[in-house]
Amino acid sequence: MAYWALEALDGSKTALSSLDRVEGTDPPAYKLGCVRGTTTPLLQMTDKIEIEVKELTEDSITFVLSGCDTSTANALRRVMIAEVPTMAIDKVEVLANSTVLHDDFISHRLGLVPLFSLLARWGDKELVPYRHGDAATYGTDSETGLPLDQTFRFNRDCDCMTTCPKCTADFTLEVACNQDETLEVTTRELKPDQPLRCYAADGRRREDDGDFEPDASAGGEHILLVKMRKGQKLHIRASAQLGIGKEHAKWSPCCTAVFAVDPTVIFSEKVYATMRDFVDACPKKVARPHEPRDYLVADGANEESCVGERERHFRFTVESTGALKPEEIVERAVLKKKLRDVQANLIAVVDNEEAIGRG
Amino acid sequence: MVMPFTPPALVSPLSNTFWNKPDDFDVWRLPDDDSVQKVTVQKDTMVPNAVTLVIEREDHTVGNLLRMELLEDKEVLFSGYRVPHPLEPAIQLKVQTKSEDPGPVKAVDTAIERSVATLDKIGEAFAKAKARH
Repeated sequence: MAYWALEALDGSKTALSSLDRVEGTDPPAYKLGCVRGTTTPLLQMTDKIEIEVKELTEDSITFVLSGCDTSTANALRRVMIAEVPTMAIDKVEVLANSTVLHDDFISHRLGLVPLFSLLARWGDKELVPYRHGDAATYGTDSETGLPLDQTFRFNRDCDCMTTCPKCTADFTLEVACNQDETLEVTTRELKPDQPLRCYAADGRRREDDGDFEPDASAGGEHILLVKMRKGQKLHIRASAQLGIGKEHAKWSPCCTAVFAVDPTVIFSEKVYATMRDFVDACPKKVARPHEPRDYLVADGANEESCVGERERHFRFTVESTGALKPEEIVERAVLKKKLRDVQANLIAVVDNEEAIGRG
Repeated sequence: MVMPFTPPALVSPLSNTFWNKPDDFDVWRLPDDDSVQKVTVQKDTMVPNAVTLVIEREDHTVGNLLRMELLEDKEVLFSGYRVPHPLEPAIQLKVQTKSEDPGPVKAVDTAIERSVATLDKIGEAFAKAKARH
Protein backbone atom coordinates (compact mmCIF):
# COMPACT_ATOMS: atom_id res chain seq x y z
CA MET A 1 0.00 0.00 0.00
CA ALA A 2 1.38 3.35 -0.92
CA TYR A 3 1.29 6.25 1.48
CA TRP A 4 1.64 9.92 1.07
CA ALA A 5 2.54 12.42 3.64
CA LEU A 6 1.09 15.79 4.40
CA GLU A 7 2.92 18.18 6.61
CA ALA A 8 0.28 19.95 8.60
CA LEU A 9 2.26 23.02 9.57
CA ASP A 10 5.10 24.89 7.98
CA GLY A 11 4.94 22.58 5.03
CA SER A 12 6.06 24.97 2.33
CA LYS A 13 9.71 24.37 1.58
CA THR A 14 10.52 21.56 3.91
CA ALA A 15 7.50 19.42 3.17
CA LEU A 16 8.23 15.73 3.56
CA SER A 17 11.74 16.38 4.71
CA SER A 18 11.29 14.04 7.63
CA LEU A 19 10.31 11.31 5.24
CA ASP A 20 13.08 12.13 2.80
CA ARG A 21 15.50 11.65 5.63
CA VAL A 22 14.57 8.00 6.05
CA GLU A 23 15.14 7.16 2.41
CA GLY A 24 17.66 4.55 1.34
CA THR A 25 19.04 2.08 3.83
CA ASP A 26 17.61 3.71 6.91
CA PRO A 27 15.59 1.51 9.26
CA PRO A 28 11.88 2.09 9.74
CA ALA A 29 12.05 5.25 11.73
CA TYR A 30 8.29 5.58 11.64
CA LYS A 31 7.52 2.10 12.88
CA LEU A 32 6.04 2.38 16.31
CA GLY A 33 8.05 0.80 19.05
CA CYS A 34 10.93 0.00 16.79
CA VAL A 35 14.30 -0.55 18.35
CA ARG A 36 16.31 2.61 18.11
CA GLY A 37 19.69 2.45 16.56
CA THR A 38 20.38 3.65 13.10
CA THR A 39 22.88 2.41 10.62
CA THR A 40 23.63 5.97 9.58
CA PRO A 41 26.74 7.28 11.31
CA LEU A 42 25.73 10.15 13.51
CA LEU A 43 28.32 12.53 12.16
CA GLN A 44 26.60 12.32 8.80
CA MET A 45 23.28 13.05 10.39
CA THR A 46 24.56 16.12 12.17
CA ASP A 47 25.34 17.59 8.78
CA LYS A 48 21.63 18.14 8.45
CA ILE A 49 21.23 20.27 11.56
CA GLU A 50 19.36 23.36 10.59
CA ILE A 51 18.12 26.33 12.54
CA GLU A 52 15.73 28.93 11.35
CA VAL A 53 15.00 31.97 13.46
CA LYS A 54 11.33 32.75 13.04
CA GLU A 55 11.00 35.73 15.32
CA LEU A 56 13.43 37.73 17.37
CA THR A 57 12.40 40.56 19.66
CA GLU A 58 14.01 42.35 22.56
CA ASP A 59 12.84 39.74 25.04
CA SER A 60 11.90 36.61 23.13
CA ILE A 61 13.05 34.37 20.33
CA THR A 62 11.28 31.68 18.33
CA PHE A 63 13.32 29.31 16.23
CA VAL A 64 13.07 25.90 14.64
CA LEU A 65 15.82 23.41 15.31
CA SER A 66 15.80 20.41 13.03
CA GLY A 67 18.05 17.44 12.46
CA CYS A 68 18.97 16.60 16.05
CA ASP A 69 17.66 14.11 18.55
CA THR A 70 14.96 14.91 21.11
CA SER A 71 17.50 14.37 23.89
CA THR A 72 19.72 17.10 22.46
CA ALA A 73 16.82 19.50 22.12
CA ASN A 74 15.73 18.74 25.65
CA ALA A 75 19.24 19.16 27.00
CA LEU A 76 19.38 22.60 25.38
CA ARG A 77 16.07 23.53 26.93
CA ARG A 78 17.08 22.31 30.37
CA VAL A 79 20.38 24.15 30.25
CA MET A 80 18.66 27.38 29.19
CA ILE A 81 16.41 27.20 32.23
CA ALA A 82 18.78 25.97 34.87
CA GLU A 83 22.41 26.32 33.89
CA VAL A 84 23.05 29.57 32.07
CA PRO A 85 24.81 31.74 34.64
CA THR A 86 23.51 35.21 35.41
CA MET A 87 23.89 37.77 38.17
CA ALA A 88 21.33 38.09 40.94
CA ILE A 89 21.28 39.74 44.33
CA ASP A 90 22.33 37.11 46.83
CA LYS A 91 23.36 38.92 50.00
CA VAL A 92 21.51 41.88 51.46
CA GLU A 93 22.53 44.10 54.32
CA VAL A 94 19.63 46.06 55.77
CA LEU A 95 20.90 49.20 57.47
CA ALA A 96 17.51 50.79 58.06
CA ASN A 97 14.02 49.63 57.33
CA SER A 98 10.89 51.19 58.75
CA THR A 99 8.64 50.22 55.88
CA VAL A 100 5.69 47.87 56.27
CA LEU A 101 7.55 45.03 54.60
CA HIS A 102 9.99 43.24 56.84
CA ASP A 103 13.66 42.80 55.96
CA ASP A 104 13.38 39.23 54.65
CA PHE A 105 10.50 40.16 52.39
CA ILE A 106 12.41 43.02 50.79
CA SER A 107 15.56 40.89 50.51
CA HIS A 108 13.59 38.24 48.68
CA ARG A 109 12.10 40.81 46.31
CA LEU A 110 15.55 42.22 45.62
CA GLY A 111 16.87 38.74 44.87
CA LEU A 112 14.24 38.26 42.18
CA VAL A 113 15.10 41.47 40.33
CA PRO A 114 16.66 40.45 37.00
CA LEU A 115 20.12 41.96 36.58
CA PHE A 116 21.59 42.50 33.17
CA SER A 117 25.25 41.69 32.73
CA LEU A 118 27.08 40.45 29.69
CA LEU A 119 29.95 39.52 31.98
CA ALA A 120 28.07 36.73 33.74
CA ARG A 121 29.73 33.71 32.19
CA TRP A 122 31.46 30.46 32.93
CA GLY A 123 35.19 30.97 33.35
CA ASP A 124 36.96 34.22 34.04
CA LYS A 125 39.63 34.10 31.35
CA GLU A 126 37.33 34.87 28.52
CA LEU A 127 37.18 38.54 27.62
CA VAL A 128 33.91 39.76 26.24
CA PRO A 129 32.53 43.13 25.25
CA TYR A 130 30.78 44.64 28.23
CA ARG A 131 27.98 45.97 26.18
CA HIS A 132 26.52 45.28 22.81
CA GLY A 133 28.20 46.64 19.74
CA ASP A 134 31.21 48.00 21.58
CA ALA A 135 34.06 45.59 21.23
CA ALA A 136 36.77 48.08 20.31
CA THR A 137 37.45 50.12 23.42
CA TYR A 138 37.11 48.58 26.81
CA GLY A 139 39.02 50.73 29.23
CA THR A 140 38.76 50.25 32.95
CA ASP A 141 36.02 50.87 35.43
CA SER A 142 36.82 54.10 37.24
CA GLU A 143 35.20 52.84 40.45
CA THR A 144 36.97 49.51 40.77
CA GLY A 145 39.95 49.81 38.43
CA LEU A 146 38.89 46.55 36.80
CA PRO A 147 38.97 46.07 33.06
CA LEU A 148 35.44 46.43 31.80
CA ASP A 149 35.65 43.17 29.91
CA GLN A 150 36.62 41.13 32.96
CA THR A 151 33.91 38.53 33.43
CA PHE A 152 32.46 37.91 36.88
CA ARG A 153 33.75 34.91 38.78
CA PHE A 154 31.82 32.60 40.98
CA ASN A 155 32.17 33.86 44.51
CA ARG A 156 33.43 30.43 45.58
CA ASP A 157 36.10 30.44 42.88
CA CYS A 158 37.31 33.96 43.64
CA ASP A 159 40.55 34.47 45.54
CA CYS A 160 39.04 37.14 47.79
CA MET A 161 38.14 36.38 51.40
CA THR A 162 34.46 37.34 51.29
CA THR A 163 33.54 39.53 48.36
CA CYS A 164 35.37 41.70 45.84
CA PRO A 165 34.46 43.49 42.61
CA LYS A 166 35.72 40.53 40.60
CA CYS A 167 32.96 38.29 41.90
CA THR A 168 30.38 40.70 43.30
CA ALA A 169 28.48 43.71 42.04
CA ASP A 170 27.19 45.88 44.86
CA PHE A 171 24.01 47.94 44.87
CA THR A 172 22.82 50.65 47.23
CA LEU A 173 19.24 51.60 47.93
CA GLU A 174 18.64 54.59 50.16
CA VAL A 175 15.20 56.17 50.24
CA ALA A 176 13.33 58.28 52.78
CA CYS A 177 9.75 59.34 52.28
CA ASN A 178 9.14 62.99 53.11
CA GLN A 179 5.97 63.50 51.14
CA ASP A 180 2.32 63.09 52.06
CA GLU A 181 1.55 60.82 49.12
CA THR A 182 2.59 57.20 48.99
CA LEU A 183 6.12 56.81 47.63
CA GLU A 184 6.82 53.91 45.32
CA VAL A 185 10.34 52.59 45.68
CA THR A 186 11.45 50.94 42.46
CA THR A 187 14.64 49.64 40.92
CA ARG A 188 15.30 53.24 39.82
CA GLU A 189 16.63 53.77 43.34
CA LEU A 190 18.75 50.63 43.17
CA LYS A 191 22.09 52.25 42.37
CA PRO A 192 24.77 49.94 41.01
CA ASP A 193 28.36 50.42 42.15
CA GLN A 194 29.53 49.05 38.82
CA PRO A 195 26.92 50.55 36.50
CA LEU A 196 28.68 49.44 33.33
CA ARG A 197 29.12 45.83 34.34
CA CYS A 198 25.86 44.94 36.04
CA TYR A 199 22.56 46.74 36.49
CA ALA A 200 18.89 46.04 37.03
CA ALA A 201 17.29 44.85 33.80
CA ASP A 202 14.17 46.94 34.17
CA GLY A 203 13.79 47.84 30.57
CA ARG A 204 16.16 50.78 30.39
CA ARG A 205 17.97 51.23 27.14
CA ARG A 206 20.86 48.83 27.41
CA GLU A 207 23.04 50.34 24.72
CA ASP A 208 23.15 53.69 26.42
CA ASP A 209 24.62 53.31 29.88
CA GLY A 210 24.08 56.94 30.74
CA ASP A 211 20.34 56.56 30.42
CA PHE A 212 18.71 55.27 33.56
CA GLU A 213 15.15 55.63 32.37
CA PRO A 214 13.27 52.63 31.00
CA ASP A 215 12.40 52.64 27.35
CA ALA A 216 8.63 52.88 27.71
CA SER A 217 8.13 52.33 24.00
CA ALA A 218 9.67 48.89 24.44
CA GLY A 219 7.45 48.14 27.42
CA GLY A 220 10.14 49.10 29.91
CA GLU A 221 9.18 49.94 33.45
CA HIS A 222 11.03 50.13 36.74
CA ILE A 223 10.28 47.22 39.03
CA LEU A 224 8.34 48.07 42.17
CA LEU A 225 10.05 46.94 45.36
CA VAL A 226 8.04 48.52 48.21
CA LYS A 227 5.66 51.40 48.91
CA MET A 228 6.37 53.90 51.68
CA ARG A 229 4.41 56.49 53.63
CA LYS A 230 5.64 59.70 55.16
CA GLY A 231 8.43 59.30 57.68
CA GLN A 232 9.50 55.82 56.64
CA LYS A 233 13.06 55.01 55.68
CA LEU A 234 14.86 52.30 53.78
CA HIS A 235 18.62 51.89 53.49
CA ILE A 236 19.99 48.70 51.99
CA ARG A 237 23.27 47.44 50.60
CA ALA A 238 22.89 44.46 48.32
CA SER A 239 25.50 42.22 46.68
CA ALA A 240 24.81 40.54 43.39
CA GLN A 241 26.73 37.40 42.59
CA LEU A 242 27.02 34.91 39.79
CA GLY A 243 24.88 31.79 40.00
CA ILE A 244 22.76 29.33 38.05
CA GLY A 245 19.06 28.54 38.05
CA LYS A 246 19.68 25.08 39.47
CA GLU A 247 20.63 26.67 42.77
CA HIS A 248 17.83 29.24 42.84
CA ALA A 249 15.33 30.28 40.19
CA LYS A 250 16.37 33.92 40.57
CA TRP A 251 19.47 33.07 38.51
CA SER A 252 17.46 31.62 35.65
CA PRO A 253 17.60 33.90 32.60
CA CYS A 254 14.39 32.45 31.10
CA CYS A 255 10.76 33.16 31.73
CA THR A 256 9.87 30.44 29.27
CA ALA A 257 11.97 27.91 27.42
CA VAL A 258 9.83 25.36 25.64
CA PHE A 259 9.90 23.35 22.46
CA ALA A 260 6.98 21.90 20.58
CA VAL A 261 6.89 19.17 17.97
CA ASP A 262 5.00 19.65 14.73
CA PRO A 263 2.60 16.90 13.63
CA THR A 264 2.98 14.79 10.52
CA VAL A 265 -0.12 13.44 8.83
CA ILE A 266 0.22 10.30 6.76
CA PHE A 267 -2.66 9.22 4.47
CA SER A 268 -3.29 5.90 2.84
CA GLU A 269 -3.57 5.83 -0.92
CA LYS A 270 -7.33 5.47 -0.66
CA VAL A 271 -7.79 8.50 1.50
CA TYR A 272 -5.31 10.45 -0.53
CA ALA A 273 -7.29 9.69 -3.67
CA THR A 274 -10.46 11.06 -2.15
CA MET A 275 -8.66 14.16 -0.94
CA ARG A 276 -6.63 14.78 -4.06
CA ASP A 277 -8.60 17.87 -5.09
CA PHE A 278 -8.20 19.32 -1.66
CA VAL A 279 -4.49 18.55 -1.57
CA ASP A 280 -3.86 19.87 -5.06
CA ALA A 281 -5.69 23.06 -4.26
CA CYS A 282 -3.12 23.92 -1.64
CA PRO A 283 -0.99 26.74 -3.07
CA LYS A 284 1.98 25.67 -0.96
CA LYS A 285 1.86 22.11 -2.25
CA VAL A 286 2.28 20.62 1.20
CA ALA A 287 1.54 17.13 -0.09
CA ARG A 288 2.90 15.31 -3.07
CA PRO A 289 2.97 11.68 -4.13
CA HIS A 290 5.68 9.73 -2.43
CA GLU A 291 7.43 6.43 -3.07
CA PRO A 292 5.62 3.46 -1.56
CA ARG A 293 7.21 2.42 1.69
CA ASP A 294 6.52 -0.90 3.25
CA TYR A 295 7.52 0.16 6.70
CA LEU A 296 4.96 2.89 6.74
CA VAL A 297 2.34 0.20 6.40
CA ALA A 298 3.73 -1.40 9.51
CA ASP A 299 3.32 1.92 11.24
CA GLY A 300 -0.33 2.49 10.60
CA ALA A 301 -1.18 -1.15 9.77
CA ASN A 302 -4.84 -0.99 8.77
CA GLU A 303 -5.42 2.66 9.40
CA GLU A 304 -6.33 5.00 6.65
CA SER A 305 -4.47 7.91 8.08
CA CYS A 306 -2.38 8.54 11.10
CA VAL A 307 -1.00 11.56 12.81
CA GLY A 308 2.52 11.32 14.12
CA GLU A 309 5.16 13.59 15.46
CA ARG A 310 7.43 15.20 12.98
CA GLU A 311 10.76 13.71 13.92
CA ARG A 312 13.87 15.73 14.57
CA HIS A 313 12.04 19.03 14.25
CA PHE A 314 11.59 21.27 17.28
CA ARG A 315 9.95 24.66 17.50
CA PHE A 316 11.59 26.52 20.38
CA THR A 317 10.24 29.54 22.18
CA VAL A 318 12.53 31.28 24.65
CA GLU A 319 11.58 34.33 26.64
CA SER A 320 14.15 36.26 28.62
CA THR A 321 13.67 37.81 32.05
CA GLY A 322 15.87 40.63 30.84
CA ALA A 323 19.00 39.19 32.43
CA LEU A 324 20.33 38.28 29.00
CA LYS A 325 19.23 38.90 25.45
CA PRO A 326 17.15 35.94 24.27
CA GLU A 327 19.55 34.97 21.51
CA GLU A 328 22.36 34.98 24.03
CA ILE A 329 20.52 32.54 26.27
CA VAL A 330 20.44 30.12 23.37
CA GLU A 331 24.08 30.71 22.47
CA ARG A 332 25.21 30.16 26.04
CA ALA A 333 23.07 27.05 26.48
CA VAL A 334 25.24 24.99 24.15
CA LEU A 335 26.42 22.62 26.85
CA LYS A 336 29.78 21.62 25.44
CA LYS A 337 31.60 22.60 28.62
CA LYS A 338 29.54 20.23 30.76
CA LEU A 339 30.23 17.33 28.45
CA ARG A 340 33.92 18.12 28.16
CA ASP A 341 34.07 18.21 31.94
CA VAL A 342 32.60 14.71 32.20
CA GLN A 343 34.87 13.48 29.42
CA ALA A 344 38.05 14.85 30.98
CA ASN A 345 37.18 13.25 34.32
CA LEU A 346 36.28 9.96 32.66
CA ILE A 347 39.61 9.81 30.88
CA ALA A 348 41.44 10.79 34.06
CA VAL A 349 39.74 8.05 36.08
CA VAL A 350 40.40 5.37 33.50
CA ASP A 351 44.04 6.40 33.05
CA ASN A 352 44.46 6.35 36.80
CA GLU A 353 42.99 2.87 37.10
CA GLU A 354 45.16 1.58 34.31
CA ALA A 355 48.22 3.02 36.01
CA ILE A 356 47.27 1.31 39.25
CA GLY A 357 46.66 -1.96 37.39
CA ARG A 358 50.09 -1.85 35.77
CA GLY A 359 51.82 -0.98 39.02
CA MET B 1 21.39 20.79 85.55
CA VAL B 2 21.20 23.07 82.54
CA MET B 3 23.58 22.14 79.76
CA PRO B 4 25.32 25.09 78.16
CA PHE B 5 24.30 25.61 74.55
CA THR B 6 27.05 24.70 72.14
CA PRO B 7 26.37 25.52 68.52
CA PRO B 8 27.06 22.71 66.04
CA ALA B 9 30.16 22.97 63.88
CA LEU B 10 30.00 25.26 60.87
CA VAL B 11 29.19 23.54 57.62
CA SER B 12 31.89 25.47 55.86
CA PRO B 13 34.10 28.25 57.15
CA LEU B 14 32.53 30.79 54.82
CA SER B 15 28.93 30.03 55.65
CA ASN B 16 27.38 31.33 58.82
CA THR B 17 24.74 28.64 59.02
CA PHE B 18 24.44 26.56 62.15
CA TRP B 19 22.58 23.59 60.76
CA ASN B 20 23.69 20.61 58.75
CA LYS B 21 21.78 21.53 55.61
CA PRO B 22 24.01 21.13 52.56
CA ASP B 23 24.98 24.35 50.83
CA ASP B 24 22.64 25.32 48.03
CA PHE B 25 25.41 25.22 45.44
CA ASP B 26 26.14 21.58 46.33
CA VAL B 27 23.55 20.56 43.75
CA TRP B 28 25.80 21.55 40.91
CA ARG B 29 29.27 22.17 42.27
CA LEU B 30 31.79 19.60 43.48
CA PRO B 31 33.17 20.25 46.98
CA ASP B 32 36.41 22.21 47.08
CA ASP B 33 38.22 19.52 49.06
CA ASP B 34 38.17 16.94 46.21
CA SER B 35 36.23 14.54 48.42
CA VAL B 36 33.88 13.73 45.55
CA GLN B 37 35.03 12.52 42.15
CA LYS B 38 33.15 13.77 39.13
CA VAL B 39 33.13 10.36 37.47
CA THR B 40 33.61 6.92 39.01
CA VAL B 41 33.69 3.72 36.99
CA GLN B 42 32.35 0.47 38.42
CA LYS B 43 32.91 -2.65 36.34
CA ASP B 44 29.93 -4.97 36.20
CA THR B 45 30.95 -8.35 37.64
CA MET B 46 28.03 -10.29 36.21
CA VAL B 47 27.91 -9.07 32.64
CA PRO B 48 30.81 -8.86 30.19
CA ASN B 49 31.91 -5.48 28.79
CA ALA B 50 29.59 -3.55 31.05
CA VAL B 51 30.25 -0.66 33.42
CA THR B 52 28.24 1.64 35.60
CA LEU B 53 29.44 5.21 35.58
CA VAL B 54 28.46 7.38 38.50
CA ILE B 55 28.53 10.98 37.32
CA GLU B 56 28.35 13.43 40.19
CA ARG B 57 26.52 16.75 40.06
CA GLU B 58 24.74 15.93 36.82
CA ASP B 59 21.09 15.18 36.07
CA HIS B 60 18.73 14.20 33.24
CA THR B 61 20.31 16.85 31.00
CA VAL B 62 23.53 14.91 30.55
CA GLY B 63 22.10 11.50 31.46
CA ASN B 64 19.51 11.33 28.73
CA LEU B 65 21.77 13.01 26.19
CA LEU B 66 24.50 10.41 26.69
CA ARG B 67 22.06 7.52 26.81
CA MET B 68 20.51 8.40 23.47
CA GLU B 69 23.87 9.14 21.95
CA LEU B 70 25.18 5.74 23.10
CA LEU B 71 22.16 3.99 21.60
CA GLU B 72 23.13 5.42 18.22
CA ASP B 73 26.33 3.41 18.43
CA LYS B 74 26.18 0.00 16.76
CA GLU B 75 28.75 -1.37 19.18
CA VAL B 76 26.59 -0.59 22.20
CA LEU B 77 24.30 -3.39 23.36
CA PHE B 78 22.72 -1.58 26.27
CA SER B 79 22.74 1.87 27.72
CA GLY B 80 20.50 3.36 30.34
CA TYR B 81 20.66 5.94 33.09
CA ARG B 82 18.85 6.70 36.28
CA VAL B 83 18.80 9.22 39.05
CA PRO B 84 19.08 6.96 42.12
CA HIS B 85 17.71 9.53 44.54
CA PRO B 86 16.05 12.88 43.83
CA LEU B 87 17.90 14.60 46.64
CA GLU B 88 21.32 13.35 45.58
CA PRO B 89 22.74 15.27 42.62
CA ALA B 90 24.25 12.27 40.81
CA ILE B 91 23.31 9.94 37.98
CA GLN B 92 24.20 6.36 37.15
CA LEU B 93 24.89 5.47 33.54
CA LYS B 94 25.02 1.79 32.62
CA VAL B 95 26.68 0.83 29.35
CA GLN B 96 27.35 -2.53 27.78
CA THR B 97 29.18 -3.03 24.49
CA LYS B 98 29.36 -6.00 22.16
CA SER B 99 33.08 -6.46 22.57
CA GLU B 100 36.05 -5.36 24.65
CA ASP B 101 37.25 -3.02 21.97
CA PRO B 102 35.65 -0.54 21.89
CA GLY B 103 34.75 -1.13 25.52
CA PRO B 104 31.99 0.72 27.36
CA VAL B 105 34.24 3.55 28.58
CA LYS B 106 35.52 4.12 25.07
CA ALA B 107 31.92 4.10 23.85
CA VAL B 108 30.98 6.81 26.34
CA ASP B 109 34.02 8.81 25.30
CA THR B 110 33.05 8.69 21.63
CA ALA B 111 29.43 9.41 22.51
CA ILE B 112 30.54 12.60 24.26
CA GLU B 113 32.69 13.43 21.26
CA ARG B 114 29.72 13.02 18.94
CA SER B 115 27.45 15.06 21.20
CA VAL B 116 29.98 17.87 21.26
CA ALA B 117 30.20 17.71 17.46
CA THR B 118 26.40 17.99 17.28
CA LEU B 119 26.38 20.92 19.67
CA ASP B 120 29.13 22.58 17.64
CA LYS B 121 26.92 22.26 14.60
CA ILE B 122 23.98 23.69 16.53
CA GLY B 123 26.08 26.64 17.67
CA GLU B 124 27.25 27.34 14.11
CA ALA B 125 23.78 26.89 12.68
CA PHE B 126 22.36 29.28 15.25
CA ALA B 127 24.96 31.94 14.50
CA LYS B 128 24.15 31.65 10.79
CA ALA B 129 20.41 31.68 11.40
CA LYS B 130 20.75 34.79 13.55
CA ALA B 131 22.78 36.56 10.88
CA ARG B 132 20.22 35.58 8.24
CA HIS B 133 17.31 36.87 10.31
